Amino acid sequence: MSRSRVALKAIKRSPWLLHFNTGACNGCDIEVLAALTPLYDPERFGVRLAPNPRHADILVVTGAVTKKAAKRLRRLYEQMPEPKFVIAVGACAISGHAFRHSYSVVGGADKVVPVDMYIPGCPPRPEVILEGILRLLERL
Amino acid sequence: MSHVVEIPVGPQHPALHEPILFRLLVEGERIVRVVPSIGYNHRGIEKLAETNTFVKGLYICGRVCGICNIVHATTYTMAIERIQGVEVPPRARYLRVLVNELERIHSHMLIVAVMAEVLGFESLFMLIMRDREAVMQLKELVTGNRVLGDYLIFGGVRRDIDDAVAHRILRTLDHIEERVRYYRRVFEEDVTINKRLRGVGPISRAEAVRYCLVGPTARGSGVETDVRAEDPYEAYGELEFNVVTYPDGDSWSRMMVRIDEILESIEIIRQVLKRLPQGQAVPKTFKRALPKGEAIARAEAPRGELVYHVISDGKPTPYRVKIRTPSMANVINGIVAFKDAYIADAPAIIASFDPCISCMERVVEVVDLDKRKSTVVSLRELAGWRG
Amino acid sequence: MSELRESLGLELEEVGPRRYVARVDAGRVVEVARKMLEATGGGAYLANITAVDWPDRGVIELAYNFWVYGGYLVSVRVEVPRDAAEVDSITPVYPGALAHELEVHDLMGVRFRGNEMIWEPAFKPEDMKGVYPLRKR
Repeated sequence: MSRSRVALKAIKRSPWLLHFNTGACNGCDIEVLAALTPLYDPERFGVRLAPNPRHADILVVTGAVTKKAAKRLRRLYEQMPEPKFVIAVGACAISGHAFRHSYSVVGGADKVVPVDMYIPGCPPRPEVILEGILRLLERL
Repeated sequence: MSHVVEIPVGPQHPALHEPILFRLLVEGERIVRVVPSIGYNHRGIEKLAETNTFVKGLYICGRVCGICNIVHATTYTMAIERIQGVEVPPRARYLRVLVNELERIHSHMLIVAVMAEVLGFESLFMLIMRDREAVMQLKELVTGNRVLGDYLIFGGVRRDIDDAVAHRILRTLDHIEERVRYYRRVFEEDVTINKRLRGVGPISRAEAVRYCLVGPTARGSGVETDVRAEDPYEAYGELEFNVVTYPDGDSWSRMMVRIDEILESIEIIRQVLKRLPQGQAVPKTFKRALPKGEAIARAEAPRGELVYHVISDGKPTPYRVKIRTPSMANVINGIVAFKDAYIADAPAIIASFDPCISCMERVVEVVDLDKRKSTVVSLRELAGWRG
Repeated sequence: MSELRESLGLELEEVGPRRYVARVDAGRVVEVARKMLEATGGGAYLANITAVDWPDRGVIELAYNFWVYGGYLVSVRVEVPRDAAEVDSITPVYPGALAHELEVHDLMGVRFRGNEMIWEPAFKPEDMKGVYPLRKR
């Protein structure tokens, strides 16, 4: 399915996020959560959480991707309609970080889904997470 | 009439897609059984701790849980220090208490905010999160990072504080105390909160003991147990504080324990800063050798007792590191609280355990026995369940 | 402490401040659990079960760490053979042993007789049934 210009414009104005924890320590998760609170005011960018995958534009992945979570990650991604994008938040989502050699860890979101933006940090600050989302939108 | 209801539950935000937390077997609107489905968060950390040096282990174990990371680092460090026979200087012991209590404050504020959200109080959630930001900034001021402090090192801490930092902490805590007292009044007086939490998910004192529950979840059932008081570590033995218990064992009691504990933590920090000993807190080096030995270190994490059982056979890689997190005990064993509860009460019960998924990485699904149908609902929808 | 020793009827070795170790035969595990629940001073709860693999001795050691309310940790040690690793479940006394027995079974492969609520794989990935990652070999 091609990415229509209208859909992209809509995403740029108001991106709906779907956040998925694939086996994280929750450090990134609470900073993603913090980024959605009034102090950082994500609503001025139209950023909000999608009620379910079929309404989501951007999949925000945290965690090192455990083998068990990998299947769900793939399924969530496939449920999202085009155009869709993936942001890997935190060192674990990028490479598996300290856990990448574990027997239960795949090690990085891009081993399961295509990733459009990597936001490094352990965890990255809420401002950086928001900036990463905005930079992705700029590219559209 | 029963049907399968899958509940995705986030550790912090109900609308976030997290590893499924609970599978409840229900008949009509009543919960019959709880079947855990787990493994989505299992990162094989105990094995990693055996295959890495005990030094790297500090950074691995400090990432078991982002919310209570400092307590994990503290407990692991204590176990290693006991095996090495290392004494921690007084100033460092007090600073460790400081950061552990800051951790408790932010963690408790988080779950109180989440509980508000679960009950539909979106604005209360936002208010508490805004106030919590001030605590995150204090954590950054002291440890250098908002979330993962990496503040501890064997034999001490990695950064010291000065009077300016101490002054800033005290000023911020004065403000936080005022706000938390307000939230306490809300939880005591608000009609809806009381209706949704009082009498919900009751756990008797005897059940709390036999189900081996810990932390605020146990203290909300009247069990007077707190590692800081019974098994003092770091500087807790030299400080005065109360062990907060509430007798009724319902979700309301468990939340009130945490709210009151925030106020206790503020007092503890004030004592720490008042009595902060002089001297070296940051060691110049640390022992690289890990002698043969064994230690069982315990600490009171925000969610309850945290145990690190470490065994060394003399190599730099530990022979065994067993981590028992409070959520592992509470959330799996806490299923007793769901007996005969309404589905709509499930989110409030779950939230009242303050489950830390990464700590316990458990997942539970709700299965309705009759209709054999499955529906995915958010925590909020579950809270408003009409069958 | 002496009251506790008497009510437990176990040989307690002090290994540190508020830390005691007792060694018992694997067959006595349920009996000891019952003693801990009824121990003088308000009883005790099971904090965790630490399983340690000692392949050179051919045993898996189980440390049942009980916290006695008021101020003592009593670590009750039993040993089971590696190639026949099983012991009675103490869930009849402490239903809260479920979480810990589940984990020990999943990662170390010890069977807990009488615990019907254990399933495998629980924590570890689905393709690891029958594989016990915490075993040394």
